[in-house]
Amino acid sequence: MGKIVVFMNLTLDGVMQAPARPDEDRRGGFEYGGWATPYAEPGIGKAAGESMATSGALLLGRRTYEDFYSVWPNRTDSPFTAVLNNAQKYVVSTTLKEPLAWSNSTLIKGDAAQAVAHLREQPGKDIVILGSGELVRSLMRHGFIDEYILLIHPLILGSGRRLFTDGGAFAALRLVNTQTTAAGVVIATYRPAGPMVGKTA
Amino acid sequence: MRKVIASTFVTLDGYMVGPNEDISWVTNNFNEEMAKYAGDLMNSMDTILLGRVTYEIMTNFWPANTEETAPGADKMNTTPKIVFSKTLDKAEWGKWKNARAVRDHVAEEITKLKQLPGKDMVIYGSANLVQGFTRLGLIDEYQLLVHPLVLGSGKRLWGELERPVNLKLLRTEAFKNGVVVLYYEPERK
Repeated sequence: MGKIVVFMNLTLDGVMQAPARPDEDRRGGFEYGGWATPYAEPGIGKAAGESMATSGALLLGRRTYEDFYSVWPNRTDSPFTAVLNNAQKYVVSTTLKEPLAWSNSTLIKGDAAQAVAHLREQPGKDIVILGSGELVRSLMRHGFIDEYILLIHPLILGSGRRLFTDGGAFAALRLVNTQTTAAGVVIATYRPAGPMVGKTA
Repeated sequence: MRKVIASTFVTLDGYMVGPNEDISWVTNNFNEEMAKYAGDLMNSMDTILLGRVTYEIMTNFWPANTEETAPGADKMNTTPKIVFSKTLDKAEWGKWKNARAVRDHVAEEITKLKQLPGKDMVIYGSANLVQGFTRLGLIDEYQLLVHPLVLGSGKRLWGELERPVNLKLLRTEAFKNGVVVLYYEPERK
């Protein structure tokens, strides 16, 4: 079976909102969109590429899907455009209607957890989630996240939407790998620790 | 000039302690590498800086312990402590009489202390103090021991800031128990 892999840009204080562009996500009056771009470098592209190379598909929430679709198909100067265009994209939404406009996109409506459980049981490559905080939190509650690749950037924003919110699901993890980029981004990979026998949370 | 070092453990989702000041996830996951980290840090400092909440937890623990019952107790008990609080008039530390409370003019106090000769000064835990000192630009180094779990609730290390703080990653260490130590200093522009 393929793993469900979360690939996420974070600040040191856990903010995930709008890493790539100023106008990406201004909810809550967020002014720091694009905070990750000063740290972009081949090391991160390599990590993303390795993650994408082993992935059979992308799994996206509605908001991230619409944001990606508004940007990437028009960017003809990036190798990432072809990767995203060609990738099988599963989109979780209660409001979108089929057919989805972007090539190779499939809508998951109704019970997303059930659909993801089904995807996860298929033999094959990993399924990577980019962004999509609400989807990640929902799948965490079901215990469906098999790997977290967290790109921890060296700044404290002090405001913005976090990946891990108050009241979220508990998860005991084990550290699989850490790497550091020249710009000071720590790429930390975690997987579920398995049942913690004899220990209380 | 000696440094102010903020050292704290934190969960992957940013909590310094769980509900009801629970830190069983630290004590259950303690190992030799963490003991060495703690010992090295203790040897590098001669002053402990605390916020009120962390002070109250520590002053109820360390003075009642010895090196035999809690390794590190000698150093924790004999090292001078400064407690930063808007409400405390004085600070106690068992029989040691080496804790004092500071209420006002915090930046001046720290600036003065930094200019004195001596070893580094360490803030243990103390989320509110770390946030306040971060705003004032008083922290010279952050050492975060990131534990491999998502707790889901508790008290956060980081709160709201009026403006972002850029950091420089100095180094990282990964321990066998899954703890990653992140060493940062503020970006000086």
